[in-house]
Amino acid sequence: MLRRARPCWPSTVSLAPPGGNIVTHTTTTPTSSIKVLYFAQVAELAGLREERWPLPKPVTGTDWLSGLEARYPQLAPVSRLKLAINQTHAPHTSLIRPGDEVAVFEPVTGG
Amino acid sequence: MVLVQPDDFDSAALLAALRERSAGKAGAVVTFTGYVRDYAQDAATQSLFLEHYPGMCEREIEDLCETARQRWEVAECLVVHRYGELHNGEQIVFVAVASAHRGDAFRACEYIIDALKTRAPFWKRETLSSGDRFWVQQREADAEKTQQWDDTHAPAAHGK
Repeated sequence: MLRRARPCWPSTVSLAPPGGNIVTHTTTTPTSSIKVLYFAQVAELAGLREERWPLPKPVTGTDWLSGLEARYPQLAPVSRLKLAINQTHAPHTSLIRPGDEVAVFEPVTGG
Repeated sequence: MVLVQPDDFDSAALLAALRERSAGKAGAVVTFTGYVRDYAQDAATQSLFLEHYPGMCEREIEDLCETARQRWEVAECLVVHRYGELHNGEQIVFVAVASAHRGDAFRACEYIIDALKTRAPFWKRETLSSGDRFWVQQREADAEKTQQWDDTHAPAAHGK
């Protein structure tokens, strides 16, 4: 099986002072936000294909989708929508974490 | 091997490449080709647009091939899937499985195309000759077929 690597953000710099604790400085937003991708009908309804969302701490897919519906009421009901987290199908019970790539779409129709 | 591309493909050349890679190991090769057809029941399709999620498509299909390898005896596996604007009668998808035995080749090929329809992130938008456009909905029958394959092999994959 292929395993998905979590995205690695270049904006995080680790400093290790002599004899001290490792201090991590976050210079930009990716560690407190997520990249959101919309596909097909969802992209048409939302009116955009990609944006960043602030996300300071992990949330479940269900909770995040409620926020999505509040922002884009035209996507209701969001219970029918599918999520992929870091390019892997994810049930709504999955946790979305800061730095994740989250895709939102209708059930797929390839083949 | 998995290819996701806008261009058309030569299934004969792909089959020849697969035979070369599996020479001596494969007693059987099963192939499936999917074509654009009229999706709307009461109106003529003018064209089909296939949107996809680059990266995730390739990974999902690779995963399906890997699952097929775990469930059946598979020597080589090749999937090509197109995206973009396609017209009636054009090829969309090609699946080829080489195996020592025909039973494994048939089942692995059918599993891959069934599961691809519910797992690989592609979306079809149909344009009718009237100019109307709509997104194709996933068929319940497709979801059920994938579920049946998983039920057959639950909880763990069978040995070879």
